[in-house]
Amino acid sequence: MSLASAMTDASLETRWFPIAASHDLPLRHVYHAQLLGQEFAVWRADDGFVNVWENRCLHRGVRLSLGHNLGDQLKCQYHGWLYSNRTSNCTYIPAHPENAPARLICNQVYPSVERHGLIWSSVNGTDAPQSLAAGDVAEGVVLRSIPVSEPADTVVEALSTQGDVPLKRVADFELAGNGVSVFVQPVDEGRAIIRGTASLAGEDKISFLRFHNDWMTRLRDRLEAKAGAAA
Amino acid sequence: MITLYDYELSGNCYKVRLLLSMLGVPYTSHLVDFYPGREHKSDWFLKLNPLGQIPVIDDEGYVLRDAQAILVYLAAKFDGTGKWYPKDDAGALGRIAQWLSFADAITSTASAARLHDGLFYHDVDIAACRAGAHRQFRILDEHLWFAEQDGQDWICSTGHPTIADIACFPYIMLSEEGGISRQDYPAIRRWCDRFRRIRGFNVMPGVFPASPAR
Repeated sequence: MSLASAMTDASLETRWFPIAASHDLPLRHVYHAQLLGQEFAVWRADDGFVNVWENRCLHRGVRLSLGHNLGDQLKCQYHGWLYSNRTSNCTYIPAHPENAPARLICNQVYPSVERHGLIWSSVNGTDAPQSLAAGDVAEGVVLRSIPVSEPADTVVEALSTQGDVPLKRVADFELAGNGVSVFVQPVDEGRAIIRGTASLAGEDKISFLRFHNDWMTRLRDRLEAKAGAAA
Repeated sequence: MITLYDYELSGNCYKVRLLLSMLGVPYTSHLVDFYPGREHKSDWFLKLNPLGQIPVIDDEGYVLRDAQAILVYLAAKFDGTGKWYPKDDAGALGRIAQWLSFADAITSTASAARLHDGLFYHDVDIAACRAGAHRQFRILDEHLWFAEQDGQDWICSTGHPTIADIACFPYIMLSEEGGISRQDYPAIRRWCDRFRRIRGFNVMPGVFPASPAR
């Protein structure tokens, strides 16, 4: 699939991608994610629910990923508008303390599913499919994600031909091999994030994570250097 | 009483204010008109620091320049816990010095980009500064991600924040004022949350507090 067709293909908008790792959502944090050009503020409420919202306050458009995760609400950093866990309904506007906000004030919410140690979402998807991945997903550890300043299809191509770990394409943005599952998240037209899970077979966990981090980092550096030389 | 030659918008002065606040050490600020007055290049200031840079401290006649050097001095002198700069731990001191030097390198990338965008430093090679900051942030993000995997919250794995965290924090937290997004550095973003929850943390213009952890 070419870059242009990948980003304009409407079917991608209904497709589910991993957009964060579970470990990206510690207590009272707001993660800054992006998929197919659409920015998300991603935050786990204290009840465990993972919220994936448009990264934009309805008031002045400030990124909600700058805001405060209060455990059951998200508070915008700029003027303190509060949005409720799950619904994203605005519950309080500090400049109008006596008035309940109109029910229409509700941020754009995206679906979310937490599975295989990853947070999955979709720009225009509805119910999550039974299996989020085309193949079996390796279970055990979540690899460090590697952002790459190159288009997703370039990254997929490189992973299937130039990586230190032999990977086969399972689906358009999914590869697997040697007990590793790799997903390529299209961030926007020119950027992607490599995400992965793997099954540990007795190796030291940290060395194992380093091994995969290191070869993916080298792959990224080679890709970006090549693009820089061509520019 | 310590005198800090200080400028509110300077991340390097902010490093010193942060440590003094976290240690609870009283001081007075002598404000230097950095912009637009360029008072740090004036005759009286160059006598204090011939490099013409802020911050400088004067502790009862002991005059010291360079933010990183000042952090070393203040922690060594005033931190009774010995945690911010563990004087008897050679391994930790080596690591701290390594990251203090890294913090100084961030001054010539992310801080320079911010001066370019915010304070009209137009002789700065802005593309090179931003690219250099991204290279550094990638290194720190990887370092912090593996530290987290090892159960460590801070840049040097001593179980407590050190002056290396303080030295790195300001120009990372202010990077977006120089057009350098931190979107690709999730481990740095989490560390910024943890840092802003340290007791005694204070803000400066452009730096917001974090939500309470509980």
